[in-house]
Amino acid sequence: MSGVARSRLTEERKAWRKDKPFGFFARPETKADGSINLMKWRCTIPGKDNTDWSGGMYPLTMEFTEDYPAKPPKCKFPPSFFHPNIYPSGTVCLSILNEEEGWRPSITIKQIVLGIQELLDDPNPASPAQSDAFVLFTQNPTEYRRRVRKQMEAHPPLA
Amino acid sequence: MNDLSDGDDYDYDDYDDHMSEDGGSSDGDEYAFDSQGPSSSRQAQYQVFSEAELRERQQQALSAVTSVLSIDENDAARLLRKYKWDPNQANEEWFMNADSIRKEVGLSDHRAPPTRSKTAVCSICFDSHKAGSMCAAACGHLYCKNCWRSYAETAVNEGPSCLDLRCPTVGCGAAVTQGVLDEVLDKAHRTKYDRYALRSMVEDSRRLTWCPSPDCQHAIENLTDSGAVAIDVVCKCSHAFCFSCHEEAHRPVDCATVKRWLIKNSAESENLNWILAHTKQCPQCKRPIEKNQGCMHMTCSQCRHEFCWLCQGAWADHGERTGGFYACNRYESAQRAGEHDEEMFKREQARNALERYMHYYQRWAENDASRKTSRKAAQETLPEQLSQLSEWTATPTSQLNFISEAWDQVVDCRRILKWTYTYGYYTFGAVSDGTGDKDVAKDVLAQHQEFFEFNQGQAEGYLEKLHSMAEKNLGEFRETLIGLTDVTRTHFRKLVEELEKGLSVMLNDYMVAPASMEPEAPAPAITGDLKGEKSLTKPRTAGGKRTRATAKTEREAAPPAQARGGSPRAAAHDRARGQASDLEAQAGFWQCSSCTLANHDFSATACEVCETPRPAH
Repeated sequence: MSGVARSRLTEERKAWRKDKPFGFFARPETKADGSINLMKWRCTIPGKDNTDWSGGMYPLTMEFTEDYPAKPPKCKFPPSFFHPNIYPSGTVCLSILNEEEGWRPSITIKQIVLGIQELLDDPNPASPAQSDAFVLFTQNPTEYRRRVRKQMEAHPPLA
Repeated sequence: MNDLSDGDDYDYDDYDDHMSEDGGSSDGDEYAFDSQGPSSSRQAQYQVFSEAELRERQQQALSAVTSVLSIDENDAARLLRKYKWDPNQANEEWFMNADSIRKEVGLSDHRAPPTRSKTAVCSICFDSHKAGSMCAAACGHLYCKNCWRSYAETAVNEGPSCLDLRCPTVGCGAAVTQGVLDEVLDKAHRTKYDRYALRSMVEDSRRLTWCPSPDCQHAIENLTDSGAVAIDVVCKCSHAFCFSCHEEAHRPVDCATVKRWLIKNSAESENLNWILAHTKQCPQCKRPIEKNQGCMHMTCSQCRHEFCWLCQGAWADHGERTGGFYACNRYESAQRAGEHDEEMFKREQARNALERYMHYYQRWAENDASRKTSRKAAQETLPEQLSQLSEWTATPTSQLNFISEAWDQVVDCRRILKWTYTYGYYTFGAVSDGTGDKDVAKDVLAQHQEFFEFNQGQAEGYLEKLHSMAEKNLGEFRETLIGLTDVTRTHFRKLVEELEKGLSVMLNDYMVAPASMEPEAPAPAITGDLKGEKSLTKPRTAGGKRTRATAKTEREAAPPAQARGGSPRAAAHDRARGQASDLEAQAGFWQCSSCTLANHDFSATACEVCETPRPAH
């Protein structure tokens, strides 16, 4: 069973290079000794144009297990990232990343990052993961937008 | 009296029939219990299934669907799962709206055409494979077998949700049925999947449930449409439990009461009650203090605060002017003014409630403990003793069955008796502390309580006799034990049935019955196997208190008993008695009309076991 994860990730890497969505970054982590760790990817997700998120470049890590692709990777933003569907630890709560719900082994990394970008401006109030953003989102939209824009400014595009 | 015993016989035969069915089926594969007449509608009808029988049943359900809907077995399993393994509902719904059900369950009605190209890329590992070496669910999305295997194994390891597995393709809802899985999974995982499939039938179906006893693999099907009432069932592993709530069998008490009782037993609430009843808080640091001896001058062991136990004021305020150091006038006057009354009342109430609970709980727990040891004795030491006994007495062990039957009965009765204490605790709360059923007037309730306790006492008496007799183990006691087993069994069965009907009904039956002279009159409630007169007089002596209720009962009962003397019926009875005594002389024993014991002592005036007076000749 192991080995499938690595070969699949090699293929994912190739596919990403050939066809990568505009503004996104995703590559396996480079360890201190210069070798590449295929099991952990560092990604950057741009906020969607014409939204409060637009202009921000949000860092995301993807951690794969040996069970991948039978099991989904764990996707994390920095801790206490402000969003109703992101846990205080930074872990993203999204149906396609949940093996009991929508995860299928044929979902590609490209589909995952596009899905997460979609989630940023279109939260799912049915499954809140943190109270802070959820309460503001449902009860005080003005303050919610202000906090989103503030977070956007804290994540400027890399020079 | 004779009317009563007629009713007795009727019930008795009825019960015998039932028991023989029970006994007959116990060696067979199925335990089928029939209802025994209209009076016992609560008698459970159920069937115990072993694993093999469950598989057979599952196969029957599958073929009921495949033959009607002409879909294959794997698809049928998927469909049945949706309809809780009810083939009729599955068939009906399918005919109503096959297309939307197909879509929802993920069953496609057309197979995807085979790929024309020789190779295809597996979109899990991104390798290209020969199309022939790949497989797909009904939707035709091809994946290599390796990827299928890891996908399916992960799902099976996740648990029973693997039964709802869908195609690995994003957005494809096609069901992955057992056909594909058999092709890719190894034996261990196939077995696991199989077990989940079997379990799903029992767990999804409303009528089936697993026996909750540890390591027991049997399932039980409830054949009655009873809803949420308590149903006692006995598994083949001899574990008796309630089908509705899965707790140990607990009739005559209902499931909700059992739950309350068990929570109460485990909860801390009684600790709190104790603290409230026996302690006061230190006025300064508020720690609870139990005063177990000594004078009223208290010094808190924690904060060293000195105070008066009676008025809870600071000790510094006490002295000559409060009535001396060791008496507290402040308290006396405050109590006169009513200041302490409410607190005192609460304390008193808490103490009473606690004592009442302890009374019932201790008896409940003792019977439970006794049940457990009896059960252990019956299971562990009895078989050995029986084989020994059969050697000594040169009797086949089958002839000694009556001993194990007696033990089974003891275990059973201990359980029922245990729950009658729970019944008593919740039913008669209003008499002492006002927590019970508020719809019943207090004096009626007191009457009910006395009646209940009398019946409970009777039942307990029989059980104790049976238990001690069974424990004697060897000797000249075969008939005694058989007789006692039957009497105890009948008595407990009636007790359960009558308590479920309600005490008012029970009491009414009991009061009306002696006045009724109709031969086909039903046996009076619980006294069916007791002598009518005995039941009437007993509560006075046993209860110690003579209430209006029993006195009235007696008055009502008395006239018909006198009136009976000169009637033509009585003459007929006299004739019958004469014939009976001839028969007795031939047989060498006289049979007790209450417990049916064969008494060999013709000079005795009362039954050896139940002490019922012998009918006069």
